[in-house]
Amino acid sequence: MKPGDSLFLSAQALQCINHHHSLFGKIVVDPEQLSDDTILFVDEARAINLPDGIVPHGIILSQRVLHLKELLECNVCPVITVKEDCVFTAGDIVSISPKGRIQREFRVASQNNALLVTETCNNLCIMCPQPPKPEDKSTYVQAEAKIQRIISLIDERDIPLSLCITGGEPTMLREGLIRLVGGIAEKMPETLIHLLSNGRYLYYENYTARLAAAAKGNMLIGIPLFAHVSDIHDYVVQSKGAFEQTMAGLLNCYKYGIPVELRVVLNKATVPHLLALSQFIAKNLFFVKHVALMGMENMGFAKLNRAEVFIDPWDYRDVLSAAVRTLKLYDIDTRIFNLPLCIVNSDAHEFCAQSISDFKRIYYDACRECVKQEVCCGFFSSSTDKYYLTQHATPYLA
Amino acid sequence: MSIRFEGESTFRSTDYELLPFRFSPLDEGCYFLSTDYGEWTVLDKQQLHHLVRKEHVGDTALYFELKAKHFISSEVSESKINFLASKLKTKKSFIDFFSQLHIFVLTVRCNTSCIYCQASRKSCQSDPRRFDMSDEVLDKSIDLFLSMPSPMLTLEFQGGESTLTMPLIKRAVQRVKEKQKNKDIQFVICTNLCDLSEEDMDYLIANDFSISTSLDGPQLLHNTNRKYSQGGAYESLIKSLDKLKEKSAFDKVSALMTTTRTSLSQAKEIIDEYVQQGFRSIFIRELNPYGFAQKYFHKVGYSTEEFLRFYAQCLDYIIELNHQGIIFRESYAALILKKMMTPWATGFVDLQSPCGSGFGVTLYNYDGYIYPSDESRMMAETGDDYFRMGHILSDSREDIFFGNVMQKLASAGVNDSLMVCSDCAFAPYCGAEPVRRYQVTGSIYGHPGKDDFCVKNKSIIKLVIKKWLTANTATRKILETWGAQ
Repeated sequence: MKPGDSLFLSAQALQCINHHHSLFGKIVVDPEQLSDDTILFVDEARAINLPDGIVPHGIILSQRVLHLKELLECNVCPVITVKEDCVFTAGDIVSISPKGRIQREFRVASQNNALLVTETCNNLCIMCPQPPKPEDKSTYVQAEAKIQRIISLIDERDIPLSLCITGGEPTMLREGLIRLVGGIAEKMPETLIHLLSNGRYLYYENYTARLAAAAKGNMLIGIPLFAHVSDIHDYVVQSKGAFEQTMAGLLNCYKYGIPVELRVVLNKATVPHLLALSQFIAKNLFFVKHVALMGMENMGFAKLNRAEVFIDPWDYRDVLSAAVRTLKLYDIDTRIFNLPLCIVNSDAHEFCAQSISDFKRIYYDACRECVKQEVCCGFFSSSTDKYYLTQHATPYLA
Repeated sequence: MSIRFEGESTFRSTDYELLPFRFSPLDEGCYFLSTDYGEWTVLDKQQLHHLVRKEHVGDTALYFELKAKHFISSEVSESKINFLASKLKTKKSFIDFFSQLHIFVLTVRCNTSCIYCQASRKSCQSDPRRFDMSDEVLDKSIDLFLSMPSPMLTLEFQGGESTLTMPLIKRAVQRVKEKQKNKDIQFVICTNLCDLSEEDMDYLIANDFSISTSLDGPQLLHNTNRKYSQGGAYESLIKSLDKLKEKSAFDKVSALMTTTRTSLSQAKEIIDEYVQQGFRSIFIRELNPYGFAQKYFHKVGYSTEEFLRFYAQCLDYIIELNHQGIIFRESYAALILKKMMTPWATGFVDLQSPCGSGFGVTLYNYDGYIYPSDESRMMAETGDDYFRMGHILSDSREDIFFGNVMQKLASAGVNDSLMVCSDCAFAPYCGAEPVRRYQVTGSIYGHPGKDDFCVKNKSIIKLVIKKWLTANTATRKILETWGAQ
């Protein structure tokens, strides 16, 4: 049986033939639709004739069809072989490094498409799951060009409901980000742009105003706030003055009509101030569209700084209940992300969202007998025995 | 990877600047602190001393609280000032569009005679040509009303008994509907509901009127206070309420109670009556020192202390009812709580700064004169036209709204610029009321700190704050819903 699209983000090629440079292009599965800048994906054993005069950018062969010698040895373009469970969908946009690292830049079958625009950041959060890379300004230009190409390659029929722009810190691109947002809004006016930013650069009012104008009213910015005072927030992001800038940035979003999703990562440094923070939000940031209280992903710096940041969500469940009750009292739409239901008090279950993206969600063996699995967000696939999320996961039995 | 993370202490600031706040004693050894943008806290004497000297205030949680509530700041930057300015603007947004409550006194004739009548009533047999609004005055008044800048306006018909002039109400509504373009207009009728025909009731419902009526308490108390010429005022009112319930229009009805000397011993009975009739709230309102009530003060009046005792009893009983699962609130306490708990402005014209008189309310009298409030109109009825703003037929819009009276109100209507008030930590929850102060003290500035208006409001505000501070979890939850929703 042919497996469905497994929603993988990246994979390693088994074998690369004729492949010496980076490849980038859109996947087709029907040879009739091949053109020079497309990559043919073949995983069904049937005779395939390349149309006359057309040389594809590359061919990806599934392990299950390696007997198709005429493709494997076609010699006209790079041929990459992949494992059986690497299934692409027509319209996917992929890049393949010279070493055979395959990255799916856009996945037609997913509702969680994210464009990673940079890996540098002006914060250094103590629990960052994807630690930033040192700044190299020259990469911004390449990154912008690449993202613009991805945007231009997305088929009209594959236009997503929402598209996430993430980093690193996307505003590190400065004007480049405004151009990217403008490019998306131009080509896909119906698509919600979900920008994840620490909001610090939005402190500059003129920049925020132009970013808002470029988005044409169809952008939601997810901005993290970790405490009600600079002393704690600045510590969490390891940057003095960050709280002040982010607060000003939030206010500029309000001023220019950009809806904000306020994101609070729950960890050992932030949980003691969660209730005060929720009161602070109710009184000062009432304009936010919603608040996401997020279980921490135990990856990256969260592993490195585990002693400083790890707390079993079971141990803060009462504080979490009090915080959502406060936000609800003030009519602020609130959701709990990344926490399985069994470690959240039942009075807060209505706020829990199935937030973990498809490509990184797992359930434990014990979850198999749980009757609530279907409505539970599960666990990050990065959770391990050593870097666990909780020791209190318990299945709900019928 | 050689990344060094700094510890929490690296990011902790200890020096701070004071942002503007006020403090007043609340109880023995403790002080209430507030800011203009609605934040507050309570400190003991020692903590306050540390704070004003910019010293270490004690525990970290308190230090963070003072910072998060903008009493202090590690650095006062332009962006912080902008932020606080926007909070203040939000708190004061009720003045954004000038006067929004427009009261039309269509007649001073009335079918009931109340012992505290504030309206210098005439009997319903009096000559309508003398005591009802003329068509000409009505039309001109509606035109002025529609020229007001606010996109949201309330048009309130009052009397006397406004239902004695249903044709005038219908004329007004029709003119509004013909002439208004993009405004959201809410109609309100103040009526004792003693003598409202089914047809008129249907008209009010069809035109989405809010109905504001009076209910002083149980049958005997209500009928003692309010004499209806055709029989029992209570029985007639209940008959109308029942009919409104039948027509599923009861949610449009609200009731006002007036406290008289007889009420003081009947706190529970009054509230039970409201609950029994299906109301979800009550406004425990003291007697107004205007109109007839002043003349008969010895019969119906009481001291501010007596009223405050009564108010406290009512509040306790209402909270007790809520513990029993009966959802019911006291509107004045709810208003104070809303001011304390939320960043929002409240649109209650009797407790605002800048004052509701003139800036939130315009009153169009049956005889064509314009006043800044109902109270100032009643003062004129009893001979003192100090607050008369002008006449609808002879004065221009500019004369009326930029004239002498509005200047007076502006000079005395902002509590930040009144002596005593300007230093009072309870001022953000209180108001300025030049009309009432003039009436009681002879000066539009009054005597903040000792006049009735101050003593009553400050006492109730303190009472509500103390209720909040001493509340157990269950009571706190009840008070929270009053304030936040």
